[in-house]
Amino acid sequence: MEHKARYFLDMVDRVIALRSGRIAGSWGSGELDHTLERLEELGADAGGYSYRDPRSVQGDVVLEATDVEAGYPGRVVARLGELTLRRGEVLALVGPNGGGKTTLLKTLAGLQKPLAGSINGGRTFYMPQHPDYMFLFNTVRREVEEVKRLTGVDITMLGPAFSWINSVMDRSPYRLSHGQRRWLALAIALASNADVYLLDEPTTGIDVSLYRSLSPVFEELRRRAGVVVATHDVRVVAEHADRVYMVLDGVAREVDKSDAVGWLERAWR
Amino acid sequence: MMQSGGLRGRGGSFSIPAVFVYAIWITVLGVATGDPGKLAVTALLTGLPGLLLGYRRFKLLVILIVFSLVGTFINMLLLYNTGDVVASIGPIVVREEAWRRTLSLDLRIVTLAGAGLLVSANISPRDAVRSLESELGLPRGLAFSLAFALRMLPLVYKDLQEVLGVRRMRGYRRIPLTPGDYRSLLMPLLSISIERGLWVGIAAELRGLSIRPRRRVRPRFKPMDLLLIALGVVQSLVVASLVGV
Repeated sequence: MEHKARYFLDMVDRVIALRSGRIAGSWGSGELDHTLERLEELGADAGGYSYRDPRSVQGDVVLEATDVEAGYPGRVVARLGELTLRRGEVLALVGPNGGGKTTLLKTLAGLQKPLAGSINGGRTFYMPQHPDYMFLFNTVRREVEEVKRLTGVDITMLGPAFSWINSVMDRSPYRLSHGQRRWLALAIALASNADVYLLDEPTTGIDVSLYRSLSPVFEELRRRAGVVVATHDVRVVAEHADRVYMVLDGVAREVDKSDAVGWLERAWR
Repeated sequence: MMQSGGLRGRGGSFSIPAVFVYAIWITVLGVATGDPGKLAVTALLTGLPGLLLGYRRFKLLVILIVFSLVGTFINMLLLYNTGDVVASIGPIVVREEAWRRTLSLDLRIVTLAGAGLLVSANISPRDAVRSLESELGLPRGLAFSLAFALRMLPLVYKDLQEVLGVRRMRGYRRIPLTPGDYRSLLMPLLSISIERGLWVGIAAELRGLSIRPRRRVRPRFKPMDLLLIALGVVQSLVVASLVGV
């Protein structure tokens, strides 16, 4: 069972697409050439991505890190030489699993003390990979009310893509679909009015339509603040990132965006 | 078929069945009595050693347990501050009922948490599932559930750190003080644990938990188990009021 169909077609003998609880299509190994197009027509995550050239952002500096060592006492997980993030800029952090992206992200967010080096900047907001960590109350309504009480932002007014929230106000946030939980977590982050948003794998496990609906929120975060996003998702890097750092062998280095996109594509194949 | 010799595994100086049965028994005693005098004995003999042993691995959890003891005191002051004056701390007057209820609940928390941490700090989940099923003969599903609960503790601890971080990001106290704080802390932990438990259960079944052949071995006890037996007997006698404490 997988959303990212385009990376798995060469590994399977048959593809079955489900939609609204029914089998919407089934293709054998002889028909796989046309499968991607058909899957995309059905709304599955089978298409490519649109590459956007990196922007040159001139906003104020919201995060500066120098010679940072992130990890735990006696164990350095990731090293970062220099990093400067400006408001309006999206910086992607890529690299293999277990490479230290999350540890570095938490250190930049101030949740973990750096073992060495200095980190300066404005208010940070870290969004964990698991959206359930973000919720503190037993109904969506309480979450909405608490966000409004603390930040003055009514997240039910974020736009038409978020209108579904009114029909689930009395439901537990933990009973929402995975995509809805991601949405709600991002909305809570958005309301926090931070200078730097640090997002850990924000698009894991979501289908293409949800990814498209999350993109405006992502752009809204970028418009207000600087964004650092740890991701394996080639779409996030290709479509949103202005700069890319790759964490490899415990060292985070800035790399060319098109090289990073190529690396992510190869890593999946 | 019974085999001689016990299971090898982590259990420190004590055997796994002995630690497990001891912890269960002390938990039963802690729930059975509400008398602060009797609970003081179980808290002293089991609770405190358990918390001290557990502190090495679950530092933050033990700190939170200590904070919850203070929270209990505040709640009892607000809800049950009646009877004779026991103590005055500045403008705060502590009365008999609040004091008695605080003692009773706090000593019970220390007893139960200590008993749980005694198991968690000494037994690995893998050893536990083998020992509980093969040596104690517990039903497979129950043994697996108990062992998984042990495995969950470090995971819950990791979850707790994530939730505390998010609380700070969202502008709440990092360390919970009020009942509302505790509720908002426990909600995500319970929800995530339930979902995790559900999927682990499914995965265990898919990997053939129910159809795995059962092997019985004779429990192998260690000399230090006598200490646990002695402690268990003393606490049982105290709770049963055969000893004038």
